Amino acid sequence: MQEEFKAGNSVTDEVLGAYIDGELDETTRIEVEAYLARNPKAVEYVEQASRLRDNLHRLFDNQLAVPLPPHHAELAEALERSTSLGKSRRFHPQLLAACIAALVLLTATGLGWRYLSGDITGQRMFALFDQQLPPEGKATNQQASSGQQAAADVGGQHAATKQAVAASQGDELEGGQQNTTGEKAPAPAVSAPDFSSFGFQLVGTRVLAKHDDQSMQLIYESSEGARVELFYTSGSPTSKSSLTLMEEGPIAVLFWHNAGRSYSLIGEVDRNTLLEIGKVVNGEWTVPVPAAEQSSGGDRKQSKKDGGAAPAAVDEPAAKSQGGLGVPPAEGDTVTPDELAPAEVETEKQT
Amino acid sequence: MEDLSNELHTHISSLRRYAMALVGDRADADDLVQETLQKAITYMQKGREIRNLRGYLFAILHNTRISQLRRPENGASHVPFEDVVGGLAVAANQHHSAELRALLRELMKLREEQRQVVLLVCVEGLTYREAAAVIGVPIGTVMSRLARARQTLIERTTADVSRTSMLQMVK
Repeated sequence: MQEEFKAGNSVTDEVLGAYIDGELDETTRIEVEAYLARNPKAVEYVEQASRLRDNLHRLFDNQLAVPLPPHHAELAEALERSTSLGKSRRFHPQLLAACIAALVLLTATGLGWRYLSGDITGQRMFALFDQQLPPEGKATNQQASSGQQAAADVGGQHAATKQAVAASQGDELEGGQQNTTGEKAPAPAVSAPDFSSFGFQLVGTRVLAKHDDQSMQLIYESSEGARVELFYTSGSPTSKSSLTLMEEGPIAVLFWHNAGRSYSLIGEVDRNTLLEIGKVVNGEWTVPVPAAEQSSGGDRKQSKKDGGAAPAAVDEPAAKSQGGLGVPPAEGDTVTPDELAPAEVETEKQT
Repeated sequence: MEDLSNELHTHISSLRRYAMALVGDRADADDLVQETLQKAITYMQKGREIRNLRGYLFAILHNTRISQLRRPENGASHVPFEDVVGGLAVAANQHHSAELRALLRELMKLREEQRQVVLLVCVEGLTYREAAAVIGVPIGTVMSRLARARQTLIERTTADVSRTSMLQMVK
């Protein structure tokens, strides 16, 4: 029969099976029905396959009524407890809060909520602010002060500059990336950092401002459904370089300003992993050596060993973008996340 | 058990039905489901989120089954019909019982990879995409396996039932 269909009108048993299983799109379904109207053998096959499905249900559906054995019931209850915990996380309240803080941060650097793109997620975020915090400016301030202190403090953090993003680390987005709602986002004029070495693939992009394709949200997801989101926007070129790292339960958050841009990286990973991911965007985390220290032979690492404090903030001249996410190299000592974590980076950990 | 949410209860019942239909033995099916649930719990206790619990459970069960079959003592995947028919309790006087018995016999003769797609799609109602994700093959492979399995089952059961009918007429 299959050969007959192949020889006829390319309607194979596979296609007929897909028709029975409701897997065809509307156009193909109509074509198959037209084919069936003139092919009694195909109709017979569809009827037999449908009967096969019914009989399989007759055979096995009685298994649904078999009570769970006690050991399964216990495991099921344990799984439900775990699932309930998972469900409480499913909405990602902490991730959402961190995203809001990130957007607040970006808003503070020049974006308005009214410019948020109109996809579903954007609307949800917008609606949240509309409902809970009607006065726009007040909302921004309130959000910034409620649990996301680092977002408000970001201008006064310890300094961190960066090196260039390696060109090989970015995949150029061609023709616009499919966003999370299936709509095409305008093609950003930037490269998307590649987080695949951490198990995260780019699944969506969103332009945060209608007329500013330098303000983007990039959404990455692992095969296990964990997410990392990167927000960035062009900010004030006079903004100080700064970096803030927080960890709240399963969520780690990294904010930084550099070279006239603001970045927020939020993910369901631990803080060290997030710092490593941040390096893909930013290059090595580096701390510039102030001229005074250079001339006196001072060493930041040395001062750390001696118990000296790192500079609270370093004014960093805004450097010009060099493509990709456009972070140029900067002079300074490279430090590892481990070195950064206790002293150079302001961190918060809440459980 | 009363507290067990309907959704989870439905998932586990489906899982048990699938396991029973796949391996054909109640004890083996229960072991498979038990191992699946334990793995899911372990996974979630690590703080990881499962976005599609049903698909995840079926995928774990599939992988666990593959591991079982790769063990030296478990080389065969064909299940003796006699082992299954008792567990499923196909009533002798059930309407279509001859047809159902023939179907069960031929289903258990199928290669397990074909039996999987038939059960996942036709019984458990997974979409081709979901079934492909569960067993880790492209959608096209699911379609071709399903088409071959359907064709085999239709041909063999139709012939089987016809033969039975003829015998009954001769009597």
